Amino acid sequence: MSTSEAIRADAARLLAEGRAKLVIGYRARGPHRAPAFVSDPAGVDVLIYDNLCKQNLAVYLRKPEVRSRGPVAVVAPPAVMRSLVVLAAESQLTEATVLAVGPDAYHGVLDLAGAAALLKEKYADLAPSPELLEALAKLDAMSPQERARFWTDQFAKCTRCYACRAACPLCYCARCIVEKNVPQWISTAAAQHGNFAWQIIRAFHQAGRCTLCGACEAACPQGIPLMLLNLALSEEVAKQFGEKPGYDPAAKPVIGSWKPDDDQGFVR
Amino acid sequence: MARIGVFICHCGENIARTVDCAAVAAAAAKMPGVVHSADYKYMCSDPGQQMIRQAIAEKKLTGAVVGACSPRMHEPTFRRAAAEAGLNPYLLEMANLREHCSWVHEDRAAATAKAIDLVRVMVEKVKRNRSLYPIRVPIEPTALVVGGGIAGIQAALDIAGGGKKVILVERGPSIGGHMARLSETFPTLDCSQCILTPRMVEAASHPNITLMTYSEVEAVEGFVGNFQVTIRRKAKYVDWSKCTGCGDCWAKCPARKIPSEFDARLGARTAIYRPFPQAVPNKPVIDREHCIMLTKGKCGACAKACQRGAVNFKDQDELVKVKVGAVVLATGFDLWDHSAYGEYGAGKFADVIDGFQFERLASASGPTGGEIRRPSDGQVPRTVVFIQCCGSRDEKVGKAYCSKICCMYTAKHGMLYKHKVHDGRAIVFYMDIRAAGKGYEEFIRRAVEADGVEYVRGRVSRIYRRTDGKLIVRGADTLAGRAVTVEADMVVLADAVVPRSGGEKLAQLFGVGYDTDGFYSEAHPKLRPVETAAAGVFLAGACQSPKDIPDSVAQASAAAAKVLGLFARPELEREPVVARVNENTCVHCRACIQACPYGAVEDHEIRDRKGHLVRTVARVNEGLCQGCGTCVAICRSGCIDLEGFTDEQVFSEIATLE
Repeated sequence: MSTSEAIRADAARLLAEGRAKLVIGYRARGPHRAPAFVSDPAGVDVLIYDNLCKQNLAVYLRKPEVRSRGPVAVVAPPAVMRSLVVLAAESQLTEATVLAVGPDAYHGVLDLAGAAALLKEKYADLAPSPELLEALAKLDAMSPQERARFWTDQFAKCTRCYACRAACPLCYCARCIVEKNVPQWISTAAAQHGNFAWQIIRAFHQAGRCTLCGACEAACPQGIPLMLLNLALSEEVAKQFGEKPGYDPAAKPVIGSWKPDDDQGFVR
Repeated sequence: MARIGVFICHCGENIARTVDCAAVAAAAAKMPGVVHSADYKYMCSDPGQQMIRQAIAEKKLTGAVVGACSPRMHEPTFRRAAAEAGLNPYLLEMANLREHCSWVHEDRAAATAKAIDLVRVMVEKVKRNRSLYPIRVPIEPTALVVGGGIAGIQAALDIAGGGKKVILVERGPSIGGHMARLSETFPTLDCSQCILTPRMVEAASHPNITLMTYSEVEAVEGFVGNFQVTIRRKAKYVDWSKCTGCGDCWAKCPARKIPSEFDARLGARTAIYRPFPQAVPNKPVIDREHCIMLTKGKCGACAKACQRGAVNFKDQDELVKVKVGAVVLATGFDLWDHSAYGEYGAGKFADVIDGFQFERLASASGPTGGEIRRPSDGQVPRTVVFIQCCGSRDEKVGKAYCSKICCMYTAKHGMLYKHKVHDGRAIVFYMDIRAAGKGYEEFIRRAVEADGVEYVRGRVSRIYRRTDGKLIVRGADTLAGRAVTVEADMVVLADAVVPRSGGEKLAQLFGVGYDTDGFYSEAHPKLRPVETAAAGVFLAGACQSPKDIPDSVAQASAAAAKVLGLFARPELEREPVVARVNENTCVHCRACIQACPYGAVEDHEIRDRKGHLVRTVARVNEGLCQGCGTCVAICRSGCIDLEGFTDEQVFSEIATLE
């Protein structure tokens, strides 16, 4: 049985048994993949899974219109499961039902604890793509001035559509800091000042939380390489604190918690 | 409409020397919203404060800015003046024209321009200030005293005598501290035990004092008036409710060669022991490191001997939580380990001893029954050399400070020796004699003139042992300008006073600062010598700096007075500079809850009229919040504000500088 077939079978069973009122998965839309919301066991045939399925479906789980449907199951590759674990650590959800898919195999229906255990067992060392690592190495090799120029050019493309924010399951604030207007720290105009502030603050607000799912970059209509920022900060967090988000539903936030033996080397 | 008054202080010459105060006042007068501006030589003086009070009343000010020193210095002064004139004190702000401007700049024109900016910033801020009211929190009128030496005992007795409850925590099995080990005390040569032990008994039997010996502070939460302290009651392996202290157990204990801490390792004790016969409580504990039953699993001699069945090898450490309103730290001192001094034998010569060992030799309750007999062979030493400043005032071993008590106790040691060995020689090597205390100089003179203690001004460069057992002390007599060699039978080193081990960890638990030597830091070296930077935590005794008994007792009574002063009121008024969560925008990510170092941010459930949970948000407990702003910084959606330092205020301060 292919992964897609297995997902359909499990989705139909969950819906029939009432364990889920809604299954969120992927469907084909021409050459692309789009989210599918299936509430009828007869409708599971639209569900597919292949390596084109990039969107992070965890983003829907906090939406009131989804929550109000009752228990929800979601098709979740490792990055999505990690997002769910972070959401649980940040008290944004207490339980989840996932149809866990890996790049190598389909793991069936799991709850949150099961997903966390699976992640630790099989997906503890998810490496970013070689192209991304190479791009980051190139960026690291630049002088600070060159790097500033690189990002100035990239951020100049930003139209402040906030698609990156909408695509990210961890951008769940009721009011994003960019929309705070008393006082307005971040200019909302799509110009250099505000763009820089927005992009840097978005990246910092993800530090120690981002699971590198790639949804933000995939959503960006302007092709800004957001994953370079995300990865740079993730690697810094791993280096400084030895932490990798998305594996422990009881994890404390990396930024905002401390241990007596934290490195103090930066204090001069 | 804002009606702001600006008051520029010259601080005598401190500000006026570098800043044109009249020009600052004139510039301030033109700032939007400012209706009154003045400068004066001493704004903090009574006429200065009167200017503020008068302007508030006459010009109907809605806010005031005082351009003067640091708010750390005089913000309470000026806010009190504002309150007296009927203005909410939190509508007055200070612009720091001294520490932030005049003291750190030389160019008068540039400094004046900066001072004007600093004033403008605060004018913009104060326009957005709102009236705040002190937060009242109840005080738990029980004090915790940490350390059962003379300082801790004195503080506990004074607080208990004032009618308040005290919990006295002592790490060892008995209270009494170092003073219980001393033979006689300077400058009166009264017996240490005779004056101390009645106080120990009084502390133990006082109805307001709860004694917790063999216990250590494990964790601290809360704040002044409301500390929650977790105390670890170490396993004693003896049920004190059954034990009568008869001594059958330690008489039978086969582990008999454990060096006695109380006798400074000159005597031995058993594994089940009380540190000394006058111990309070006078009941034994089992030292789990040396007990044969607890280490090897068989023995139980003490349990067999105990007719009351009080020995319990299964005893466990117990964590006890107590609520206290104030804390006195009285953890005392240790003597520095002189084995770092290779030239004095690196601690390897049995007859080179420290001050405590001499005290035990001279003490009637000591291992020699009060006869001065040297440790190596029990002979009475005919020549004893005393060396002062061993480690103290020596930056080579990292101790720049004077240990304060050594001049006096060395003179006492010399005297005690001469009183017991009339024909012996007591030779003291000293750097200086520091005898500044009531009757202290007279005491030194008495040692020299009446008792014949020989004083040699100079350092000892080396001590070595000759094959016949004599200790050869080579030094200099800097007054005579010649080298000195003494053939001594025993050498007593006046080791530096150092803070008790583990003191830094305790300080961190209570949020108390300490200096590079590990001594606890007082809040102000002159004006607040008993307080610490942590509100409600006070210091007594040698944990703060080397102190003798009178100073320790005086500071302990001072700390007790501070505690009683705090407890005199049922409620504590706290600054209303606390964080506040905008519950409309909070998404309950709990980042602030986990970041708060004071546990002041809590989960709060918003429910509808029928009691159904709508959602959960973060809420700040005003009683616990210290206003540090960590939660404000951590909140990603910017929905926490610090009263008195709101985002809006800070933003307007920055914006006005553009």
